[in-house]
Amino acid sequence: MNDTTLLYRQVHPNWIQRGRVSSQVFRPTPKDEHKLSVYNGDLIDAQGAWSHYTETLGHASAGVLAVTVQECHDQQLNAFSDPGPFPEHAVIDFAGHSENQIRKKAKALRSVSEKRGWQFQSS
Amino acid sequence: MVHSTAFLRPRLTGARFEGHAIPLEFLRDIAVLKELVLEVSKWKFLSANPDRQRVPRGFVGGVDLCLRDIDKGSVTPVIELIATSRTLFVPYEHHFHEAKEAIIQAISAAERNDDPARFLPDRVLTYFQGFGRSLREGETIELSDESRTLTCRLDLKTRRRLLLASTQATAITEEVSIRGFVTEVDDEKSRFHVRMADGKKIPSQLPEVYRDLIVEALRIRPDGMKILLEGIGVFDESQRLQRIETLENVVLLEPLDVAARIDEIRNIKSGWMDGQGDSPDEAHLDWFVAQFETHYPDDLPLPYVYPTLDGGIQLEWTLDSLEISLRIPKGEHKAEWDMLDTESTQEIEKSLDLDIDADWTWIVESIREDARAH
Repeated sequence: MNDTTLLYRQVHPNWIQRGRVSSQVFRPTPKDEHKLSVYNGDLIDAQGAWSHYTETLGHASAGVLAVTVQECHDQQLNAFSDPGPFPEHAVIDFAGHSENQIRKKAKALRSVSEKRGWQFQSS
Repeated sequence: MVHSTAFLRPRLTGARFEGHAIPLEFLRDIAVLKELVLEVSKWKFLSANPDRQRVPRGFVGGVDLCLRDIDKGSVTPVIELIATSRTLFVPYEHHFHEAKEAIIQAISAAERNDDPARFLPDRVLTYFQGFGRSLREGETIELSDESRTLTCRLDLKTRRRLLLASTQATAITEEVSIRGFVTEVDDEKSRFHVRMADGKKIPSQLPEVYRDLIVEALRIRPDGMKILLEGIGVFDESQRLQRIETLENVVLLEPLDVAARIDEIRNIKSGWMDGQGDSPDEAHLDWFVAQFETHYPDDLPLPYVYPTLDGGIQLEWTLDSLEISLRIPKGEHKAEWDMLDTESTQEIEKSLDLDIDADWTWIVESIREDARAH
């Protein structure tokens, strides 16, 4: 992974309204323990990530957005490979930041990912 | 000589009556009250005179119920019993007062979950299809007997019980307001179907006056434009809407209509996010929609609305470089405002109480200012 590596994030259908996604997409849930799961774009493309997430893992996703490692760094967030669950798994680490800071960083990531546009959308 | 006597003073309570005024549509209910009283009076007469096949000609001829006044303090229409001939009417007058007592006892029985049919005949109970139909959640019609020892309250729940107590009422009609997409229009049968947020398709009559609007809403599918339908709906015994019997208003909704979006969120089940995620609370969503529609002006950009994992909702606005969110946890009336300018990194956070008008004013002014500046 390098600064330009795309990190693919799955978007739950309930967090899309008329094509716009919620900033919650980029906020780790309590279960995530401050680590937001993403796919390492050096190892898998957006469609492959979506297929793995929905078919292999059996989760719901309406599509895939992406941020780069550098865009995470811009928010003082580390991003690194975490192949434990599966080889293409990576995380954006929100540890050490307050809830308010996490909300703002999630907003900033949502904003840059929206400008980049959908990397893959289910039909 | 006209004979008039004080008869009923139904006290109307609920949000719509707080301004000490009666909505005109409610006068329909009062008109049905007259039919109900006359029908019960006839029944009372015939019960007291089992040898008679029908009521005497002068019994209801020239008899009327009139709205004389509206009392101040609370909304209480003053209804008088009027007869054109005192001589002809007086011998029968007590039947009308007995009828009133029977109606009050039947409503009171329904209130106690007792059997209203002990006090009113089966066919007469169907008159409650009309009387009380304009009532909304939280509204009541309060009636007292002449000695004021018995006071009953007709509300949505007691009205349903009264109707279900009749073997002749196969369905219940109520005022209804639904949102959804038009899925088909049947010109020949003058009807169309609307698909609601829960996926259920509801048929509706199609008055000519709304035909163009409904066809327009159908034409812009599949991107879709939701519509709001208001009218009289027919419900089954389980309170499931079966059809719109009378369509009274149609509105093409904004793409981001908040109430329509909330209808979608209503259907979210517990565990919706891959096992995580609480379901929203219906009453909390209703409260929010009422507050939003009361306080948020039409000329401002509408927010996107998303469910949160705790069963609450989050409103979001993107105004150029501004990312704004208003987070309302499940069951709470407090909210957290959070604004980030993604270019300047300027931030504003604020805790708000959505029961307080001044806090809504702050939200409205903030959005107005941000929308103007960006």
